[in-house]
Amino acid sequence: MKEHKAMQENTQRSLWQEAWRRFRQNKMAMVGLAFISFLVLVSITTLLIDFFTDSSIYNEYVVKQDLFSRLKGPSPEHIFGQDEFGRDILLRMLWGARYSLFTGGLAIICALITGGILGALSGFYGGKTDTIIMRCMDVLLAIPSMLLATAIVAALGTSLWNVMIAIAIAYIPTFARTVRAAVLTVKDQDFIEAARAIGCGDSAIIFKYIIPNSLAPIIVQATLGLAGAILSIAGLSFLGLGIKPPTPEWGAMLSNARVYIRDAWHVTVIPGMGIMLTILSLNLMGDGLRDAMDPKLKK
Amino acid sequence: MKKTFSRILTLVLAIAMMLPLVACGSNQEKDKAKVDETATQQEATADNQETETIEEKKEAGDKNAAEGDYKDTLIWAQGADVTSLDPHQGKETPAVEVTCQIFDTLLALNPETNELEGQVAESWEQKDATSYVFHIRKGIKFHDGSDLTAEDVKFSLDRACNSAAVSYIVNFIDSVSVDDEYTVTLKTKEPYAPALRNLAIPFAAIVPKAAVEADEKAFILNPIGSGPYTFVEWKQGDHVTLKAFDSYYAGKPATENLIMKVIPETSQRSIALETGEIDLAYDMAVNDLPKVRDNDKLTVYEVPSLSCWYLSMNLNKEPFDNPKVREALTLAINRQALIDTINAGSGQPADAIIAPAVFGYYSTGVPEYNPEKAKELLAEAGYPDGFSMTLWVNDNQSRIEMCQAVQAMLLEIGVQCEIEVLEFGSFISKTTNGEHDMAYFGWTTSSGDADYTYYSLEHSSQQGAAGNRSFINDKDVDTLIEKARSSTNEEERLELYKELAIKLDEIHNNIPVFYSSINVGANKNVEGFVMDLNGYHNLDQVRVKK
Repeated sequence: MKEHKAMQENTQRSLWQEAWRRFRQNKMAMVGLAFISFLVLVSITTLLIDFFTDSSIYNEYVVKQDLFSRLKGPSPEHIFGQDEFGRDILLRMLWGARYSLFTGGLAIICALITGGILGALSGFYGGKTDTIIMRCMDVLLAIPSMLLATAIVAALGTSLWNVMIAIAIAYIPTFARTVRAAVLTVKDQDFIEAARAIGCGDSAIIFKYIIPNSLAPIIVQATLGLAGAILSIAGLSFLGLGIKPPTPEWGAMLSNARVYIRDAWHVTVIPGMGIMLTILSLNLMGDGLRDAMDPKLKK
Repeated sequence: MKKTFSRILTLVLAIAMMLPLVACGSNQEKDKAKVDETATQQEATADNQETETIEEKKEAGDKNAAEGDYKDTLIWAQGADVTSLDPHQGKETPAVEVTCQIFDTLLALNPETNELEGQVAESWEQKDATSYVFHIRKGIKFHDGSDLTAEDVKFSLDRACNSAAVSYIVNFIDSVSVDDEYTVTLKTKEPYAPALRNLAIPFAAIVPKAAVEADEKAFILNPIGSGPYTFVEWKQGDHVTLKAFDSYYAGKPATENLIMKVIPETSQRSIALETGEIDLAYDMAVNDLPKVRDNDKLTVYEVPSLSCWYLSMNLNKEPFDNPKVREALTLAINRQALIDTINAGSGQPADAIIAPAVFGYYSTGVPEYNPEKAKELLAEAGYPDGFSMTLWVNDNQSRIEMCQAVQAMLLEIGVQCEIEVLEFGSFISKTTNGEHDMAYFGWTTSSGDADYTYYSLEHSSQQGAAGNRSFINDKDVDTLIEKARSSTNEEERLELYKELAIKLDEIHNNIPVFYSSINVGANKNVEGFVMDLNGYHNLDQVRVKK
């Protein structure tokens, strides 16, 4: 028993190492990873700054308006220029990174956990459980995710939490299906049967053997889903259903600035580029992960 | 690497192209209202045979002579579609901008002089404090060829009184009686000074009794009026087409066809104006004005409007029941800065909720911007560290921007203000129920008389839906409003309104922010355009050089 576990961990580690080795070879994926890491770093740094300065920097530079220098273009003091209230766009971009990244991330984690459990249950037990769960997921899937999220936010009211909940709900079926498919492929393998033979319970089999062995497609799906979630958050904010002003959320920044696109391009283009680069990076990363974790490509 | 670059470039372009798409309105191809054009034309030709007694006839002839130099179609663009072509239903400005070309009213307000002039009524007299006699102009035709008589006037005013949408401007009427074919007597419930001005508002339009009674639904889809233009077609969400009415009493309009295009996005309207797709662009965004002014081919008409934008505080809620808090908030707002920046210099700082062009306006002086004093007042009121509140606004970009700037100004005096953006319907219903702390409103004194605004916004009987959303309930204010509305002596009314203005300036239930300007971007080839202070621009004298 002990030996078996040790062996499994051993092979698992080398599997991850193998995946990382192949991921590293994909230059585009590495660029994506670097950009996302940068954003995570920025978000954590700004959070720490806010924590240690009691938000005084945030209030003084990110929120405070300077109406008389509104829409000023890039200059040495303000590299990305100033927005429609004269606030520094660079600082707002940096402070805004957390909303996209963390709200999106949290939404995906919630969707992953809920969807994952539902998918695992329906894949593992099959039969009626499978039918009931998956038909419910089909109903959810039939509604376009953006429309579903808009409806949920409209019903619950506009706030960061509700946006997150809405997006999490919209992504549950995707994860449920992915996990179910992964579970189905793993379920009938010999080592599961072996586990059952030595007397493991259902939950032990699911959590100890099935989930770890079906992680690869889930990780890929989560990375790609995160890109979609960030885009949805930006989209909802663009429609005015997201985060309230003066919070520097990228989608809201883009939406508020769009009337000035003919007078001051930078106010729209910079948040737009920010969103685009983030989504692009996540997609590149997701592609890279998929290639790296695909067992068929193993050399 | 090159491949990646082009991939990124494609994405950037794709995003750039998505932007206008998101904003574009839907062009619903609902052929809801199409009129038999030929029938109207035949009738119009028949009407031409009629001899006309009006002196404008000669002028119209001159115009016809020079027709070759002018376009036969004038196209204007506005931000929203017609809500209803029934003048007693569609009271929203986008609807009236169209219906005021189709319908006439008893009296009309001359936009240049702000004086009343006869339109359907040739002359009128006031018999006593509560009765007016109108002599209807003879020979006025409706677009279907029938004559406009006293019966139609009575029918129209009664219909307006029974319409939930517009009755508030005519509910002073007790009865309308027909004396003879061309004379009506109007009795008011009590002496009501602004009566005549209210009758000049386009919602009091005169409609043909016979046509409406025969088939009201058909009338609403194919409106028939007595105005300068006949209705041709309405494609919902896209355009309305109108055609000159040859037998208009004041002479045939200057331009043969009018087309109203719906272009919701303001920047799209100014682009359409620049490309020459449209001749007039109503209600341009203030940040587009400098660009239009700088263009050699274009010009901007801009006049102070009858609208005031103000922050309304809910007096039923803490801490707004404290006059010191209200005064502090009044002092915390830098009106000139808001106008110079957010509004790109368009508009004037406000000191009352009625605009200076309104009868009864008295200037109490624009409240100074004094955050220091505001902080002191807050401390005196027991809020030395400020307080938290919400500011409600409906989802309109320029209004939200204004509120964001106000939010920053309130933060300066320590008031934490959260902005709640609501869709217009729920904004109105929730503020009607008094659920707001503070809300940002605009109000237009359509009749040009102070009573229209003061009665709706400050009288205790009008709380909620009727307009009093600060829930002010002050006996002195009520008395002053009632006295001023029932007096027919102009001097006395002005005196009462002065007293009222000073009183309201002490109460500070509403914080007047600014008087907006009303603007129209125009091609320089447009001639004869006169701005209406309400935005109901008459286009019968407007023509466009080729």
